[in-house]
Amino acid sequence: MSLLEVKDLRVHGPARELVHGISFSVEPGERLGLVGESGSGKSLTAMSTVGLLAHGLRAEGSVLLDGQQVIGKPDRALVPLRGPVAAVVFQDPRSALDPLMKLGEQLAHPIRRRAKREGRSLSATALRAEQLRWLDRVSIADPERILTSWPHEVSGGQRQRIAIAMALACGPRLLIADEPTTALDVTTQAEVLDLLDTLARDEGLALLFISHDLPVVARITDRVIVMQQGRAVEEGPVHQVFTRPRDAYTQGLVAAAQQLEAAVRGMQ
Amino acid sequence: MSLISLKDVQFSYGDTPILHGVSLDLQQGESLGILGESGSGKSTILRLMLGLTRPGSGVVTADGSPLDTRSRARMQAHRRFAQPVFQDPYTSLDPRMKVRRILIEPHAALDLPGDAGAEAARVLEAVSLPADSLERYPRAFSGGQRQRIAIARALIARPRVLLADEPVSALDLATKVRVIELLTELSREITLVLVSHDIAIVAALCPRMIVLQQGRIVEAGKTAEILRAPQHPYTQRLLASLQHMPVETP
Repeated sequence: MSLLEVKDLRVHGPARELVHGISFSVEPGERLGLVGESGSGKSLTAMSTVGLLAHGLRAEGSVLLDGQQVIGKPDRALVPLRGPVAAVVFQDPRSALDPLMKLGEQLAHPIRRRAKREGRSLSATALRAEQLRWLDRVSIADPERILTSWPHEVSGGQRQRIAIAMALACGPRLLIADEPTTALDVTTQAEVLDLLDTLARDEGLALLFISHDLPVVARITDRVIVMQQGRAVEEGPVHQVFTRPRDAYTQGLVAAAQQLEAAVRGMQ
Repeated sequence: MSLISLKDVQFSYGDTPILHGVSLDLQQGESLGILGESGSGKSTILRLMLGLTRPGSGVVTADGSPLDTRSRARMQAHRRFAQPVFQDPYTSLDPRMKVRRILIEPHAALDLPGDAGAEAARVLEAVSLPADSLERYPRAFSGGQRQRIAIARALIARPRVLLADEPVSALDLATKVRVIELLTELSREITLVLVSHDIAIVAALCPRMIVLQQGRIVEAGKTAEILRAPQHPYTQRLLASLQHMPVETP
């Protein structure tokens, strides 16, 4: 059984349809990229899979997450799926973290919920050990200090690492990452991509990775779907799609990305 | 000839030092890229060059004389000499103004010669937008088109220097490439100062570059030479961090 199976997904806005019938699946451990320009519907598609569409948007079709239908379910029915099955890392780690809560407490939430779900009691000492273990897993230096820091006291890269730690602490099998490195500097971006790559491998995670950045998608995923104006225009292994694109729109995107890279390569 | 120069410029926000003794020289026809990550001080250099802020110490010289930001006449001359283009075309255009007024306003404010209407038509053509754009509001345009309008507004002063702060980073890939082509075209006549975190944009547009790290210039020179053989460890790390498109294996 696929971990995620999407069939004829449509997303309706207040005035018009924004995603026009997209179908795909993600197998356990697989890494799928959704690429496209702004407004292509890639984030709407990803958020529909966990029932996190913004107010005023409505999904239609079928989304089976670990065999359970997501579409049409009340929010409460989806809570058991969010975390243990799929967790999300958002683009902007500033808005994904609560500015009024210390980082250690934010990280404690998914750890406590997981312990409760698994019927484990969690002493204060055990909680602290788990917090430190997760910060270590996402390569945070000086974890003791980070636990007592506020979100605004740490860098953007550190905030994103903590957001990743919080997502992974839920113990998901699918990690949905929506432009997780777009807000980061290029050196930090490379570090976070390396981190996601290692964690996904070590934890046996499946990835649904959303980005407008073709080289980033090429770095982290195996298979890619190219979206344009709410439709999937091309799908295939990432190397094939980015070296021999068939669709005219994909060809334009690939040519633009290659043109930018040629400016740097031409001088090296 | 030197168009703008910074000599041993220091700058702080309160107690937080931003620039530590920055010196650079912008030569006519040698567009300059200022490459750095967030917080490196690159936008502050641009604000100093624009005269929007004064250095704590050191001197900013433009068009042969020190930039005295307190002199109205000096600043008006400087606005004709150097014009800005900002990052976000959604916030840099007044949504209540039609494009015609957006373009004509600086013409009047800077007391520029020539007929304002004719000049507006000229700059619109220079950025490849149709003439009927003049009667429309910014909301009628896409991000790339808005950035063209922002560039047109800068061109109306017939400046010698265009100071652009991340002018394409808010744009989609294909649009980005087209706006870079436009800036390449314009840079034959106007010298660009381009602030960016993106090496590819600097490589595409600027024959010279500086690399800024935490308020210090760590590397400066010809872009081609720096990219071929980066000397400073930080520049080396920036280049090593670039992600690449896959290449077809035979």
